[in-house]
Amino acid sequence: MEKSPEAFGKLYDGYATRIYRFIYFKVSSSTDAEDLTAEVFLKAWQYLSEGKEIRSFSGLLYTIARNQVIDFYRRGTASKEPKLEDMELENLSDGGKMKEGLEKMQEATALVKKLKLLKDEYREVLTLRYIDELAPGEIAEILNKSGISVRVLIHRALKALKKIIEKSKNLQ
Amino acid sequence: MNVMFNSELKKQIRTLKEFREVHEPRPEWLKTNREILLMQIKNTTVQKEEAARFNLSFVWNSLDIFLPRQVVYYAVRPMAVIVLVSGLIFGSWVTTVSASYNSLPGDVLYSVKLATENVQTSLASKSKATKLRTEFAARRVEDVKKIVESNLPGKEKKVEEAVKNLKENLDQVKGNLEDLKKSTPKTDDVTGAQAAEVAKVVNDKTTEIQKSLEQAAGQLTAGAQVLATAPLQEQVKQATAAAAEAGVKAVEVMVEKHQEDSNSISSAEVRSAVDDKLKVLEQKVNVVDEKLNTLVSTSTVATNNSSRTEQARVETLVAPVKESSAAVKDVITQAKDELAKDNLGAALDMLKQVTTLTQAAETKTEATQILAVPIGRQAAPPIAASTPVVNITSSTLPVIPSVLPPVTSTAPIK
Repeated sequence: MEKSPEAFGKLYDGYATRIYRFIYFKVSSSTDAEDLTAEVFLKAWQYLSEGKEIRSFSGLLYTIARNQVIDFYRRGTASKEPKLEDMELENLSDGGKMKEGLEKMQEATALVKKLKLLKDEYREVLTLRYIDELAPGEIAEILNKSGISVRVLIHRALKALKKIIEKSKNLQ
Repeated sequence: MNVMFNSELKKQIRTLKEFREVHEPRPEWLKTNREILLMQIKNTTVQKEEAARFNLSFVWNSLDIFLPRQVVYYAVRPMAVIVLVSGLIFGSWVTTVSASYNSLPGDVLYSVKLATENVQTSLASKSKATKLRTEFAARRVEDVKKIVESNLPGKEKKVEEAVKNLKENLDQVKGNLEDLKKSTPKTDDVTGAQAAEVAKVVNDKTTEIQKSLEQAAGQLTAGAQVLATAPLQEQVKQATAAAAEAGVKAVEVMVEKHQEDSNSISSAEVRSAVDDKLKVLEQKVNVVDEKLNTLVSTSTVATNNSSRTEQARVETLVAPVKESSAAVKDVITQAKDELAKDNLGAALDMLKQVTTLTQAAETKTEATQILAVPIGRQAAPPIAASTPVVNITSSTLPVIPSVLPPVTSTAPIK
């Protein structure tokens, strides 16, 4: 890999959004997600410049991201995180740019809220598969799992999400 | 039913992509963070270069090979200043450095390249600077090759500029080697082994430079596009001589350091260096002999009318040169004998002598080639036209202002 700052800038362009999203679903606050994403890329550069060998750049990024989130909760910064509801209101309030109707937006935020109720593993696999549209093979590499266990994980995650949705319907 | 629900669910998750506001970073944050990130990592590249000193794939490979950590650290900083200034005009840091690395004389970035090289050498220790200068000289030869092969306008000027810098570097190398020869570990902080190591590098590199320059000189004069004017040819010749001299100087350092302390460099290594040099010179003398023989034989063919007088004239011209080439061969044999007896000092003296003598013999041969062309050649078209050999001889003549042969009285008028 070309180890120049410019080349790294290109990698940033390709992965920043995905990594941000990956983190955002774990920390719930966009400010925290932004800070952590920045740290992930700096750490990745340091890792690369030490000349260590890497098999997959995306795998490296996601691994660092996961560790950063763990550290973030350990540091106790997580307690300051705003409640999910506040977040959604915030998002709705500055949603003037939205093309879709308010109703759809609400559906989307409700789904995000449900996704956040899933366990980490499930949420990761669902966002990687359906939002980032990665192939199970790629996800396997990122999560350091076999292709089969990723498929099983996706299946279970969908099942778990279904359960949550049904539960909320019953409540309504 | 279950399958239906699953696909509906997947669809729903996918729709999230449309609602970027919910889970995607702000574009303005992405942009500013990118800038901050690049700034941060560029600051760390200084350390990165230190760590990657021996990484040959690095852009400034010579920098990696030759510079110690401190020097890289202090050299990179001033270099960054130069690069930043030109970066304002030409874009990013990386683009500028790599662009200047590939720049040729006449390019705007060529001066950046030379400035960078000067900074590197000025901050390096004597032994490192010597290696660097040799490396830069080799780069200039590459530049010359590139220019000759290219379709750039004003090639001659560009070659001239590169050759000029090449010679400057080689002269510097010679001077540095002289200092290294006299250096002592106590006063100059250079061990004998280090000095010998530098000499070895210079010896190898200058041999390559010499070869490449001779090739380039051939390209410059050959073919329809004769690029070289007389002064440029002279410059190339001088640069080639400078490379040869630097090579001999390097061998001198090797001999000196071996005599001071045989642990610095083994006698076998010194012997093989001297021997290699002698072999190259021997080949050159053989080429001289061949040229002289061709002159005599073609003079016989060329002037079938008055072949005897003409042959006699050329033979008179060639004879002294042949004598000197025989003398060179003699000294080479003696030098080899001394080498076999491990008399390195004596062998070295002879090597120096052979180098000068060979250069002299080469120059004399060139002059003889001009003189040997019958002056009646142009006045007697039937002879010249019917003898293609004469044409070949004349086309290989070095471009030197017409010289009248001093032996006009013996030359055939018709």
